[in-house]
Amino acid sequence: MIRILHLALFMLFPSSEAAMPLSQASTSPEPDRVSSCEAEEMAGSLSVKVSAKQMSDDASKLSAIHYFLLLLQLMKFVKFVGKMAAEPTREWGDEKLKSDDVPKKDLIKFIQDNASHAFLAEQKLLGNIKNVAKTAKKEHLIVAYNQLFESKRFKGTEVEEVTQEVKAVKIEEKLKETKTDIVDEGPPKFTKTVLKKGDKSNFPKKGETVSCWYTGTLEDGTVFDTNIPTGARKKKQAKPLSFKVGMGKVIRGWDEGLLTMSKGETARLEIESEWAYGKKGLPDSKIPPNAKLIFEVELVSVD
Amino acid sequence: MFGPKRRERACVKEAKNALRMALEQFSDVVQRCQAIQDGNFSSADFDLFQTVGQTCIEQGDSAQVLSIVIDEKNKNIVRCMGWNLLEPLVKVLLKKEDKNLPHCHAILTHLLEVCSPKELLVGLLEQIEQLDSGVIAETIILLLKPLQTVLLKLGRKKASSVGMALSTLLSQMVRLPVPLSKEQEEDDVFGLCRCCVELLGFVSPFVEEIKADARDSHGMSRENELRVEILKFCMKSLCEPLLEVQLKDADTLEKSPLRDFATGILVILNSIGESLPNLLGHSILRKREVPGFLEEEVRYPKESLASMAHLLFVQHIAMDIFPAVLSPVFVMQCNMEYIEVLLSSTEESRLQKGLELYEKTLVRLENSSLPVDLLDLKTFFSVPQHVIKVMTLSPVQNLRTKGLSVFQLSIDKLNTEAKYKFFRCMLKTSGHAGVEGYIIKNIKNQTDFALKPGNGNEWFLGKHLLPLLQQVLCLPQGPETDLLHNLDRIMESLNLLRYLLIRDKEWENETGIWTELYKIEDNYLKPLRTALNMSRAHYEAELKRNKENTTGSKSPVCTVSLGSEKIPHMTPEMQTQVLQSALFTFDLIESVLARIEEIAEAKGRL
Repeated sequence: MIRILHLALFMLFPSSEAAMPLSQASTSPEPDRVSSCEAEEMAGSLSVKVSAKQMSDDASKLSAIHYFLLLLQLMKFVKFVGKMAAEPTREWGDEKLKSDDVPKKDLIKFIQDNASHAFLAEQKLLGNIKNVAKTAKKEHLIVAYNQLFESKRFKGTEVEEVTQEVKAVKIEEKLKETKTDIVDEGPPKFTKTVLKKGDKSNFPKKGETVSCWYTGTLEDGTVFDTNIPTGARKKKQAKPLSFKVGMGKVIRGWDEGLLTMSKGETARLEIESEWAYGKKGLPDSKIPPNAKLIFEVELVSVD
Repeated sequence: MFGPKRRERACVKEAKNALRMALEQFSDVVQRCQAIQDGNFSSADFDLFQTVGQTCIEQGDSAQVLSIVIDEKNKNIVRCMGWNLLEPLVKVLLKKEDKNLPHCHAILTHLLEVCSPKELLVGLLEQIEQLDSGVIAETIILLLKPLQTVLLKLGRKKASSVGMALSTLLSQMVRLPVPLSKEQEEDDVFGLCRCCVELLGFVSPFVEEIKADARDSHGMSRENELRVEILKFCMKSLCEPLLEVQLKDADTLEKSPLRDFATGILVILNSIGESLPNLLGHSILRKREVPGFLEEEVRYPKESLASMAHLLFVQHIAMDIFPAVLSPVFVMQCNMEYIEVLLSSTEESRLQKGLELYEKTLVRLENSSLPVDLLDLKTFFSVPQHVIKVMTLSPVQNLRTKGLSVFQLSIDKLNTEAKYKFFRCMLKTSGHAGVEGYIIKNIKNQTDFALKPGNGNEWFLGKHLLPLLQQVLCLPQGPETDLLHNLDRIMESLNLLRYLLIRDKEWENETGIWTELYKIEDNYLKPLRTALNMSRAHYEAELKRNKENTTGSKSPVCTVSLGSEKIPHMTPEMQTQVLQSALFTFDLIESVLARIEEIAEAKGRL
């Protein structure tokens, strides 16, 4: 699983630390690079250059949103590779292979054209056909040819295996209740300023119920919504707003923002209109189109 | 011998005598009862007290009755039997004769203080339960304050009594006609508006009590009985009368008691701990609760919640206490349940409300924002079906027009894949040529959009478009298809085909139409031509026969009657007209067909 993340991360954020191109996944050159990555893997301290602030050190704790981003990139890659993968037909029977009808070079060419890189590497059939023909014996080539069809390790299938695993992950993460279109990529469209620190240990997870007091204002300061009772009435009479976070029940800026807050924290969330009410606005609540919204939110409880 | 004046004087004298007699009787029975110990009055005593007391009051002697009633010596008697005087008191008070009013009010007030609250409650509710429609509003308004006084005296045990009282009051109020126009609401001839306003005042102390309880016990107990009764009341009001009412906005009617009532109900719900967003999401979030939790279902009837959704989103009632952070997609999901309830009705006002709620919820969404898996939810399929029913079958033109516009709006909000799935579904299930034609037009628009540079998608181009086209370009009953019946669908499908052939160059073939053309020719164009020929031949024969018939006068084979009226027969001239217009229609179809062949041949493909 970590390896998959590694591969995906490289595609998303090419950086020198995660520089492990797919094609070199199982080759021996550049041992330094490989070992440093392996070391990172083992240490479990894969550092990820993502702009969201909530990334914890352990890569496996990436939030679902980032899984989706990674998966998307991976799927794109897979699509490209997948186009090349159509199972080739087995032209030559055993007799034919052993005879002189099938020259070594043809056999090598066929295998090189159709087998996955990893397979070729294992069978030592990479490189210039002439050179391979010199070093490889015909028997070996026949064995390799048969093995290829048995194991079906054709071009594109290695990645195919990966996508199976990836698909499995995707199904676990898929939230059945309400669906939000989590297909867009790019930086988060909100910023958070902590006004009062929380306990820094109780962070809400998706699907948990959070309760909060909030005041929402437009950029010009107009308050369009609040659940904090005004005047002499104490907070005991009113109830904080409760909802299941991360499920698409509230505007995206809230879903994303609240997941970064801990219990007791008060923060100011400035949410761009794309993650609020977009081009439509909410005329009912005095929110104009393309409005950036500012919320002061106090996360009261998480359960 | 006896003139009219003398007769009158005789009557008056008689009446005075009778009155004095009744009063004397009343004093007698009271005096007699004074002697009885411990309130062991016999039923005869009760009856006599009631009858005589009633007579006194009705005959206008309330002053004397008052003096007897407030006499300390009679306290016991009044406490036990006083509530029996309620009926005559109410009758007199309703008459509003100035002379007796103050005394009767005083008697009533005294009774309220002295008598047992439970008995008073029964007495008062009895007065409300069987009312003639003419006096409903007056009686209710008269008795609300006394009822409130009595209920407040019941202390901690008041919950079920409050519930009973509210239920009785509402059942009478819903008998009152609902004002429909602004003028009717202003005039309030039947008094519904006044009753509603007074009713809010009536429940207010109970709501305050619930809030105080919550403060003291640090939280709203869901099982607080009084809270449950008020909740039931709110839910019932949302249904009747609020679901029937057509609220006017502030521009039309500045001061609207019905709007105030609606606002009041929603505010009460919020105050007793039923947050409006939670109520809104009730239908979709509670499904996973323990089954058999009927109490929950009964407490939150869907119709009432539908009424609430309409008040919130269409009338903007109490929107200032509704949080502005809910995602529009979530609100859509919630409201679909209520839209379904409203659109399942056959009443015009409910259908109107359902369409309004649907429209207002859709408008909040960005175009192409609804994802395809929402279509897996039951309501996202059943609601469009209801809308189609309104569009095609409603006798009210406004509803049909609105239905169509909301239908298109609902399509616009689906994302591309969802649109695709929706179109396929509709083509399979609608069974109505007009609807199918409309869908096909939408398909053409989507394909047009997809062909524009930068808009390419896999649903309306290439491999997914083709199965959709196969659904579109087919005759439901092969060559025997009734072309006139399916005209809308056929014309739109031919338009689509013509469009594709012109727009999509055969060397680009982004839609795949050029490779499919030979199949379309076999499966669609050929059978269509056959159908055209057959239909044309048939109608031409009919036309010929019709012309021949004008010479002889044959009586028609059947008659048509609508209701009890017979529809006049079609004259031969009218019949000829109809047949000729059918032939004209076939010409129309043929012309488009010819044009398609022209285009295809020009590109050497057919």
